[in-house]
Amino acid sequence: MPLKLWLIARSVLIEAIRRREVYAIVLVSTLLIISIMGIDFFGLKELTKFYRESALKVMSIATGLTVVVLAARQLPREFEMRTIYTLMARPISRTTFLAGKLFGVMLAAAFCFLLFTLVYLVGTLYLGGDIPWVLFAQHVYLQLLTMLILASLSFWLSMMLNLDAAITIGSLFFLLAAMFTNVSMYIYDYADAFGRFVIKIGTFIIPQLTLLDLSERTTHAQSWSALDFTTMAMLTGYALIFAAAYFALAMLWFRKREL
Amino acid sequence: MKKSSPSSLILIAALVLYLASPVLTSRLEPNDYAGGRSRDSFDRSIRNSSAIAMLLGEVRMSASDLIFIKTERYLHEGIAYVPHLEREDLTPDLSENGEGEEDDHAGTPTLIPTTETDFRGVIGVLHRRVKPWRDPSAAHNHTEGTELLPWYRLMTIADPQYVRGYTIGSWWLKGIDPEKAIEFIKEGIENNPDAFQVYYMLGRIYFEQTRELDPLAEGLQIRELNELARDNFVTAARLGLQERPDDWTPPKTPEEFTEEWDEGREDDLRGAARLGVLLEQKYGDSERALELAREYLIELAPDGVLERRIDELAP
Repeated sequence: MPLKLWLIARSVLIEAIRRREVYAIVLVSTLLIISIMGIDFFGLKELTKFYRESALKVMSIATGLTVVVLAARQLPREFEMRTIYTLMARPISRTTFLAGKLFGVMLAAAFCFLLFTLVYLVGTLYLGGDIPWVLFAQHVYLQLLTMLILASLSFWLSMMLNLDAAITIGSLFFLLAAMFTNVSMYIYDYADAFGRFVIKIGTFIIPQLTLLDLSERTTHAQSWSALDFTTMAMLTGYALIFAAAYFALAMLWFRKREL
Repeated sequence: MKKSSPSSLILIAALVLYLASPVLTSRLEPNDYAGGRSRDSFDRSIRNSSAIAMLLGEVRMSASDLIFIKTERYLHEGIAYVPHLEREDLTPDLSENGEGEEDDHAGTPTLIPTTETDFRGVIGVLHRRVKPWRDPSAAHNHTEGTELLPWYRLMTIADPQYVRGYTIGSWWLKGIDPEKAIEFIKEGIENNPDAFQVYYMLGRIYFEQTRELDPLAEGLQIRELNELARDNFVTAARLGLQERPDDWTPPKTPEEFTEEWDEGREDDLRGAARLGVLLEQKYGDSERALELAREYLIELAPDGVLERRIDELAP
């Protein structure tokens, strides 16, 4: 099974790299990051916080959108091109097939992040800033967990809805996640009993992606230390619960689909 | 006659609006709209008359206001407090920078609630651990202002009428590169020729520069800088008195100040008047200084500093 899973994952990764979409996204984002580096702020050097914050946001948004698009189109395209029938005729279970697809998308996300990380590190060192290595590694790890949630959610959405709707909803969910957290905190005090109940339920059943975003802490790393092991373990568990739930839902819909 | 369908009408309307857009947007020059947190509602109502400029200008203003909030976060090590800083908090008098300084804003709520007020249980616990957060009862720790500068540059690009961006940005910048600070505040004057606070800040920067110089070796340069400062203080006082409401009387407590004329403006106007008279007395003409002091006192009385200055100057 691991070999089959790896073969499927590898095909997703190769396809993602071969289609050059990842490179295009990384290239455009890199140009954006370089242009941020190039802005003249009164001729001052070593203004690294602005660069750090902007670059981390660009990295996160570009990778997130790549993952949503890549994950959302995996299954519909297999059906559309009828390659799913050939694959399912082989001794591969649907679970292995879907897990392989998810693993492949995650490899593509990691590849994307790796390229961005190189750009980010070179930029920070060029500007003369310090790199909080442990905190930055934690940030990348938690961002990959965010991508895992997004990928499994996109699989589920693509099984329920058409491709365009899945990409749109997945992207909106990703882009508005922090806003949802902030708004729910703010309006809770002003809501009536029923409103508070809805906000509470929403807070617990919708993944709070902002918890997996260490960009602010990394930007202001001079004042903040890396997270302790317990917190990292709790965040990992939190992310895995949602990723597993969405994967299970995707699996359920995938099983219901007639071949 | 064939009846037009709704979609055709919408298309025609859109086309008409598109063709009319050069006329409709002709009043979108920077001077046609001025809004934002840096101005009061009274000021905005006077300046803004074009509906379209108001609609689109609000977007620009909102961008600058959001960026201003960002500077508060940078100043507080990334901690998201409820916006609470006024200009005077961000321009600590006569200090080169505020690194490591603790202010007295302890008790200002954070956007992420405390354990006692958070309904989110474990999610709230994680949120407080992951984001830059400290208990709101703790004293605020201010970081070095240098890293704020990109944001002041951006907010004034987004809204060239964002006077506060120019004044606070140049104040931080003067500690690093006074020439760049002067260049920046002069850009503010160019974009806001009627705003008295930009002249006041330029005067302050010139005035502060003299403190760095040796009075014995660089006396001439000190004199030149003080004369430049004086000219800007006098201009600021003149414009400030014009801007100050005619029937305005000083309130007894800071809480009684209104949006129409706030405490910061009053302090800046008095500062400009007092320093203008002082520098005219020291580097200009005593009679002119006396004349200015009397002129300002008519509007600013009671003012102990100006009264003392008149006592010194009066024959």
